Amino acid sequence: MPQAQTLDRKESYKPIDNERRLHLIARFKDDVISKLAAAFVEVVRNEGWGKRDLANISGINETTISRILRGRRKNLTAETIALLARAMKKRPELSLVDIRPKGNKFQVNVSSEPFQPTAETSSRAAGNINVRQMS
Amino acid sequence: MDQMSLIEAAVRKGALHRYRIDDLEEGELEERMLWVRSEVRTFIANQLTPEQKATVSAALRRFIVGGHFTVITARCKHKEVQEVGDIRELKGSDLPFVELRFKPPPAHLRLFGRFIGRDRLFLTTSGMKTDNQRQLSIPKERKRCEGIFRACNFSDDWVPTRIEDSLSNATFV
Repeated sequence: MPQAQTLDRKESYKPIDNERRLHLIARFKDDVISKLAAAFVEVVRNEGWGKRDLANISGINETTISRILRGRRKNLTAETIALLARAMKKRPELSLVDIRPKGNKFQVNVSSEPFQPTAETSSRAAGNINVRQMS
Repeated sequence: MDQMSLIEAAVRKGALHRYRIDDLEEGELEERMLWVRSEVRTFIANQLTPEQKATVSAALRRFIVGGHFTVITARCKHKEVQEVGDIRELKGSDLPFVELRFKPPPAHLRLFGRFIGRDRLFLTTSGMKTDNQRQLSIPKERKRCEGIFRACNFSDDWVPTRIEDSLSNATFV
């Protein structure tokens, strides 16, 4: 196993302010809630279960489940997420995406071409993303 | 004039704004396009609490970077599912008219608009309902949306007639 390199310098950083704190928390909560909501739709479609069934399976109060899925629950704990996700036949995993700049050479932009509605709207839009090399 | 020229003309006049993310991170791309009316931009910027603003910004960011959305179509009959979607197609219109609904306490925030192509959304009006306020009128919001479309010389032909043609990476219920 390769040994971790020790830097002889310390990367500078900026302490978090309240606005950034709120935004970072909101982004993660938005990600979690949208995934739980999508899983709920799936479980309704595939198993025909509703919130009451999920409450029975997970042991979480039905009102709490409703508040979570509607984004009204203020504090979402790891325990609640684990139990609710499992009740919906999903294995929750935390994904930590590295956001250190990679020095990418390519940039993707949505095309500025006008939208021309056709019967094949979806197939046309599939080619709507241009990849161009940055100078 | 084509769609982009008309949109750019409206942006130049100040009638609408392109909502962009100024702090895209590694691995994030602007995969969808979002425009908002000035009043919607002002509403988000000035009339929300910091927590509400963060919630709305997070959802709009997810939209722009191409994240997954659950769309409740006008045909959906499952009451429990209707309450959890990110985007809801509102009933009573030939052309899909949609709302994004947020429920951070104490108010229900709603942003109304129309898709003007696949992965292109134009939010025309906004509303906030607290316990003391009356219900928001969907027909009124729809009328305002139609009026804004006319004022900007936008064509109804831009609006995909099926909500399913409006968004990629989405589940339609």
